[in-house]
Amino acid sequence: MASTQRAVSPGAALLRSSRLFSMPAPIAPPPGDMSQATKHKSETATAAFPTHLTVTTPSTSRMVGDWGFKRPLPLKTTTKSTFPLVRVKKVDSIEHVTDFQSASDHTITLEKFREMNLSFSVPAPKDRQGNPTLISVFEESRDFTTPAPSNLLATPKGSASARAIKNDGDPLSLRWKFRGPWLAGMTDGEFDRYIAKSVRARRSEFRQFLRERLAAEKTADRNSSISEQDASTPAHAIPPVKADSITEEELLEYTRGLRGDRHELFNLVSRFLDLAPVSNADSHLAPNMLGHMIPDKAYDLYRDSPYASEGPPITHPSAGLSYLRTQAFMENHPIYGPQKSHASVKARIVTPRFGVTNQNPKIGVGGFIANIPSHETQFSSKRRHAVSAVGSNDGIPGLNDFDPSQEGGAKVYVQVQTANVDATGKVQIRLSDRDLETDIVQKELVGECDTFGGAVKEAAQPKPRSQPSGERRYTSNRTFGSAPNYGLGNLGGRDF
Amino acid sequence: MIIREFGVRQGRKALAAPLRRGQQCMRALSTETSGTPVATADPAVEAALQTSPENPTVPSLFARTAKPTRRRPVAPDTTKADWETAQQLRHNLRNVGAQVEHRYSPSDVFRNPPGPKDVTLELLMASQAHMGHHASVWNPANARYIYGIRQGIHIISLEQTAAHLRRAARVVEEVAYHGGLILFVGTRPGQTQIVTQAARLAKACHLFTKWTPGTITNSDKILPGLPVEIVNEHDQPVGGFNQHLMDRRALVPDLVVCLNPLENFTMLRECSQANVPTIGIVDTNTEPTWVTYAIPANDDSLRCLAVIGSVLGRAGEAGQKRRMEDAKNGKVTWDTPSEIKQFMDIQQKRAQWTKRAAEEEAATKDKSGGLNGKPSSGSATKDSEVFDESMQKLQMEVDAATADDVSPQLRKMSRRTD
Repeated sequence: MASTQRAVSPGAALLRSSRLFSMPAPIAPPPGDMSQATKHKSETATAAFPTHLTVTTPSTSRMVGDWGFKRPLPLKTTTKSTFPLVRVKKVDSIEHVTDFQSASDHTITLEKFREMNLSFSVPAPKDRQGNPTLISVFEESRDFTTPAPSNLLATPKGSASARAIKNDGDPLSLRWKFRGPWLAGMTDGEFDRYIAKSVRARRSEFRQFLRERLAAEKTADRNSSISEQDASTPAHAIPPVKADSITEEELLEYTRGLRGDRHELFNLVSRFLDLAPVSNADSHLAPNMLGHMIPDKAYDLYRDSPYASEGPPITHPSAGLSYLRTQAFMENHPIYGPQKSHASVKARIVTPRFGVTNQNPKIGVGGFIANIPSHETQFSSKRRHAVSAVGSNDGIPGLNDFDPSQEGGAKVYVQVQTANVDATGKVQIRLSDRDLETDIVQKELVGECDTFGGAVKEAAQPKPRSQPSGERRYTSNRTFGSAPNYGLGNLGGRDF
Repeated sequence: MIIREFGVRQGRKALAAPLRRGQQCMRALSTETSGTPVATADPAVEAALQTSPENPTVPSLFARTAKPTRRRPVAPDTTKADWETAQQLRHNLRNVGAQVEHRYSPSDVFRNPPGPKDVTLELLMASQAHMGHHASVWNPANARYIYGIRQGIHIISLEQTAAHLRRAARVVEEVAYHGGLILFVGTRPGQTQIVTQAARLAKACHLFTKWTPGTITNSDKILPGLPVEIVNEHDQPVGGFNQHLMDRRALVPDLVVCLNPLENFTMLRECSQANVPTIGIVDTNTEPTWVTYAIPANDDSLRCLAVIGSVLGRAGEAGQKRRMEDAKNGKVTWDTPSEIKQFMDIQQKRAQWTKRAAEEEAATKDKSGGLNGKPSSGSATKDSEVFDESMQKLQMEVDAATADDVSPQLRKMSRRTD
């Protein structure tokens, strides 16, 4: 039997298994925002996601600049950092230099992210407030890209599967990868180009697709009528209507009918082109205000797809950052025992809430900018200064105002709820409300406060004798500026 | 040293104590009391001293309250014992724990240089020999060495590198076996250690600084009067060639190994003009016809150059070893250079002529003496005897030099280590 692999020389086999050859090609950089053309944009800002492989080297090799590439990398720039991490953009360029830069930004961020034990979940629909059910992106019902071939064919309108779709939602729309584009995110020019290049050439193919669908519908109609007339004849005994037997007139009539039914036509077209689902739920058009009474509510387009409103993600929805399915595990504390919530994470208040614009504060968690919860939490308190109110610590210092006295910037302990990747490849981390008890436990664990030690010390000390009830603590005729009132005792023996 | 300032310099305390004792004695002897307070460095000492029977006064407040200068008790020095204990412990625990396997260290290639036998495709790939230049800066003459393009660079075929490296190692070994003068050249920064190591192994010369243009083609001006010595086949210096060495031209290497041909184009050109074979590491952007024996490899990676340099150095070492063994068995692997041969011929003939002339002179002297019946003057006889003696010595030297089993050779070119 002839082997499918071509025989290669030993050197070629070696090279193919080498590390240089196994370096993946860089992926496309994050898509630029058109509005950023007029905004201030930092040149040195960390990109939303890494595009190149991170390369490291043993310390002995780093000392001589050997990173496994064409030439030794300069020692001056590569030996200063704690961790040896570079990304090589070009192994060799026409200027005879190796184009590289430090990759600590993304690599250390990944390490910090892994420390948080976060799992990625499917983004919850926007209209559902509060605590949505978190569904992992690795669930079998969500983590698939290729539909079964039988599913790709359009389901007949009156069939049982079509009814199931109407009730439970289309399982195909739960995918995260589609062959076609997301029409809602295309510009006008992109759309025209797509129509001209990819769609127009498939006209005859679409006709055949319609023919097959019409044949399937006809078969279903005939089967139902036969079973109504004569229950003894099994439906499958009669051969199904073939697509070839559909005449041009029948097809024309069917097409005319489809032109009147826009939703059905859109469903068919999107099924044929495998378009990514779109949603009209977020548009602020007048019909949306009507709630249940929206006309054609039954034909709502792919409401079940989590990516309909923002577009499908450009990577796997976990982005390879975490492979955890759930955070449903319990942390144990050596003294306090099992903990209700996960350990708090120390976060950086990157930008406080500005007084004028009332822009939401930006909170950096493990290298990512996290979204503060949208509902009423301690983060939504707009108190200008952190004043400890009675019975609550709702003021987060530095959240609403820049506090120059805080060395290294203001920090806050936060509870991280979940993360997901949006359509532009950015990681969106959702925070939940603060839990002060958890914060204290975590602070004690890292040595920022000593609750347990303080309590033990307090319990070990003998209680101070209570004051005799007859002794006056404070005299009613207090004189300001007197020695007893300063706590110096009754020096002169005089009673004021 | 100025003695009178000794006390001031060495501190008051050194002189104060004997002075105080002397004062006590003096007080016992003399009747008058001295009211002069004496300054002391150590208040505790002073307090102790003041408890004399003559002066049983209570110590001053300062002396009572002052702490002794040395607060901590002196701990015995256990450094040596501790060190010995640690060594003993390490010895006892030597076999406990995991065996740490030695994988790779960048200095391995210098500690244990690989030879031609150790050249494997794995070694070459690990030392980045396969990485050529950016695909757009290639020299199409290198197409036969190139395997393909990856990551935007040309990949040099490892088999080609290995084959050409083995061939070059063979060349170096044979040149060393035949007593040739090898020169290792690597003029880029970081190549010093590689070049010197290869030269040390192969008993060759090295160059890690700029090649002065004209060192071969204009050596009369560039390298005049640099020391050269003549050796026999056992590499031992041979005398009697001073006159030749005075007026001989500078040496030309018999093989040049160049690690960076791009920067040493001038040298390679001079070598080709002087018919000197060259070995060069040819990257994908280098012209391979500049050198006689090309080794297609990455000329930018110091790791690759170190491997190639040590392989060639080891090859030269093997050649030298074989040559020395053959010399011990009486086999000389090289011919005496023609100019030395010529010089020796001339010297021999001159010696013969001198000898003959001396004999003839002696014969004529004897004859005339017999005719005249007059003994020759003692001084003349003595002079001729001295002359004969010196001539015989010279003859012996020349004979020794021209004997069949002795083949003088020029050994050292002036090493350019500036």
